[in-house]
Amino acid sequence: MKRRLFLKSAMAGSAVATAVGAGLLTPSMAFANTADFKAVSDAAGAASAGAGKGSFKFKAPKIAENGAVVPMTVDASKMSGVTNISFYVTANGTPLAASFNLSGAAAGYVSTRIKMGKTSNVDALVTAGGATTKVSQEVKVTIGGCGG
Amino acid sequence: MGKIKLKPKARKGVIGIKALIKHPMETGLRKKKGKVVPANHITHMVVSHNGNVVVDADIGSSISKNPYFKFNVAGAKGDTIELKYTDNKGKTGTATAKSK
Amino acid sequence: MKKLITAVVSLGLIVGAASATDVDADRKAFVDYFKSLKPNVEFADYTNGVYAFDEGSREQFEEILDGIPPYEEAVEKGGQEFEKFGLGKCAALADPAAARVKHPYYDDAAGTVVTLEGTIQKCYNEQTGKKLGTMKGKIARISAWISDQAAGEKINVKIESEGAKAAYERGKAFFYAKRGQFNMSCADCHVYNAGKKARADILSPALGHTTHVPMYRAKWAGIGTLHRRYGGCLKNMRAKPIKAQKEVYRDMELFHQAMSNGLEITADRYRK
Repeated sequence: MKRRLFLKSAMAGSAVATAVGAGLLTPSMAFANTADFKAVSDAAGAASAGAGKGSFKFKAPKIAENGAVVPMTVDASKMSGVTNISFYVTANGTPLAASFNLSGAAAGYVSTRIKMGKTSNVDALVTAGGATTKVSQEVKVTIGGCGG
Repeated sequence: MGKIKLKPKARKGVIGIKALIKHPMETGLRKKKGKVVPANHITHMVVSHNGNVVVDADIGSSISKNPYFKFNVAGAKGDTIELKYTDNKGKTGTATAKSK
Repeated sequence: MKKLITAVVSLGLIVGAASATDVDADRKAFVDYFKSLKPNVEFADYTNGVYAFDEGSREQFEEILDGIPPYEEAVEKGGQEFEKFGLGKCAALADPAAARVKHPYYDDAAGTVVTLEGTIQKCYNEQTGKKLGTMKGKIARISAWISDQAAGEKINVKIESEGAKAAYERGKAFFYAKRGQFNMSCADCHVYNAGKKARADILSPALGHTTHVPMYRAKWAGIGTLHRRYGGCLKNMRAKPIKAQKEVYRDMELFHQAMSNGLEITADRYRK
């Protein structure tokens, strides 16, 4: 109840507020990322803070050509028992981009493309044998000159 | 929501699984013509190899539009790879492919 | 400053001089200019445009292509649409690869430049009775698929008749003329300042601009035609917009493509 009132006042006048007020849109549908995911993101943040330096490969561009499509790859293939690879973009609204739980025959390898709102440090986190290590890199994101 | 291109390819005992999913991946923070575009993005994805789950992923809204993923799984030509996803609206997508 | 003047002169730009149109001389001057600008870049590499200049963005380009190219599905669809609408029945498109290499060309009888998109539109209309757009969607997909068939072949624009030469000269003048609030010409960015940055964008060289059209632009998250891109550029220069496939653009395309004669047409049509 409190939450709904807060949403109504925070976004008074917008279509979303109307929809939320009318009960047509639940907050989790209206906003980026669910509460569950935010919890996973917070946990990843904590893991990152306590993580030691990783020995795996993390590839990301130094200057992103396009902030909406930044290719990133973690290659921890040489490590055994990798159970999770996560990408944590510290300056993004919800820093965790994605968390990949790996099992069975999967190698410790993930490649994907991530949206970055602005220049940020990106922490690649690899969990193996219960311990999380990280490799960080700054990725610069700039506003373009000519878009067309 | 959208189509999935799933391309598993085996080489030297490792299947490289490339996947391209057509999905807007709206964060719910973007405005178009003054109106907020509601969140519409994949939240969960599972990849299986010969019926065994190998990747179980929590996906956030900052994964790029029309997400691309690549994974490596120990396996051989002819193995079956399946990808399933769910988005925040509850819609799902599935694709299956035999590794080349 | 001296370098700039030399460049202008060597590019055969002295408009008003009594010299006859010599497309190949212009083209050679164009290529030589870029060679002196970037001595370490091979001519053939200009097929990849800006990625031939910058290592960092080239790596991202290759990374994206190495995955599943984001335009793959659209181009395949273009091929299906080519079949579905019977476009192969038109003489001009019966051999798609040849069609790509032939266009743009000056049609003496019609007295105007014909572009690949123009031919596709005409054929589509003949086969279906309907009209195709000029910038994105079906026309871009079909044109991209047709262009894919010619991948590996070299751009080979032919300009022989007086009418063709006149259109070429008009196109050349357009390319080098300053316009818009920013009072800049296409050449200002894509010739004189190619490789330099405009805010955060690295300016692509005009040499190689048309090897990969229609192109998939990450910004569009889709495929668009060359004229769509022209329109975007003009908008950026705060210049008066011109509709795609208008004569002005078609004349410029004739010049633009001719400058890339000898470069390979590529199916790697991804750009920022």
